[in-house]
Amino acid sequence: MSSLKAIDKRVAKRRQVYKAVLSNPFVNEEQLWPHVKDQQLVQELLQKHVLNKLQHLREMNIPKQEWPFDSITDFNEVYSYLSQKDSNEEVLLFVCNKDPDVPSVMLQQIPLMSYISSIKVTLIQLPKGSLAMIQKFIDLPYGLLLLPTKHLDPIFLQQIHEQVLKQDLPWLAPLKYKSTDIKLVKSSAPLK
Amino acid sequence: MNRTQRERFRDRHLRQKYDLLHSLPTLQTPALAGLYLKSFYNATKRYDITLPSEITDADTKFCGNCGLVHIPMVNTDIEATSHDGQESLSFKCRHCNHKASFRSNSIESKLSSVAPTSLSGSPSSAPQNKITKSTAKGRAKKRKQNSLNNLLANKKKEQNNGSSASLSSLTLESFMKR
Repeated sequence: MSSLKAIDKRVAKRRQVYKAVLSNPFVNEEQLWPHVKDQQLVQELLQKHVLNKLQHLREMNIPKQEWPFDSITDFNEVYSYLSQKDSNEEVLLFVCNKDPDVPSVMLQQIPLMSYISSIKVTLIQLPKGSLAMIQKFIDLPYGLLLLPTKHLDPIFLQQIHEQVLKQDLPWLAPLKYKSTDIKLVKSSAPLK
Repeated sequence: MNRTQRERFRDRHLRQKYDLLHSLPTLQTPALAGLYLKSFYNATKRYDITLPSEITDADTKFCGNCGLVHIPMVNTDIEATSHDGQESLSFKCRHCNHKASFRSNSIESKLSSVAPTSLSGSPSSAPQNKITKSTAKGRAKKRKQNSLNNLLANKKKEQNNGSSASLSSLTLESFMKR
């Protein structure tokens, strides 16, 4: 028999904790957005190498066909770009996923989209407040900025790739990759 | 079973059901999705676990009709449409052809009205931007407000307040009273 005091003490010693019941490596929902090592650095790189140039191009009224590199911001265009089949292209997809102005229903599907796409997508989440920052330079109606890497500065690309981890969603892997067609050849081996 | 064992069993039980839901598209058996989703929800109910709204809201993570987990480009088509200045996002399940659309106000207009400095974003303006969903609680509240009793009470209140100084109604009666 323990006294009431003892029970009280034991209860007081327990603290409330929250455990992620559903998180596991298969679904990997904690790592849905790949980890970015230094978010501020990525933001500065983006501004220096891309946004400033885009702003200048727009100010000089150069038609969009003549721009040195592409930039896609519309959701439907991003979606159709990512659903291309059999292309060896590489893209960077910057997403303002921490800003309250970006619809969460759309954000939920972005990591899945970029993972399942047959194009090599580097998904980069931007820190809070980036939407307002980018809006100063260009229009960003959905908080998405897709940059095909073909004509981008290779040093910029390398720096970005160093900062961002690879996306890993095991439950989608069988849908992304075709299963290998392994066949057996009937043969005979000598008895030992 | 003691407490830790019970918790471990619960976790494993829920995780197993959750994983099954996610492996359905791979197993080429989307017809089972509804059954599995229901079983998963029942399990969370049994253990008194409240799931985040990203999972439970119909048509966001799972299809509201057949319960299949949404995977864009594989079993779901997503399209952004704008209609009368209202932007909306529509999901179409390729398995059951169920369509769902979510309305959201355009982001640009909100940003310009709030002023793009990071600190001035007032909390009052933020919720308008979020995709509007009707929750069960909200609907219940609305229903309560629209009940006959409430309408009568409101009318009475208006009469009590406004009989002396209301200019709001322009009927003949209100003029005669004055």
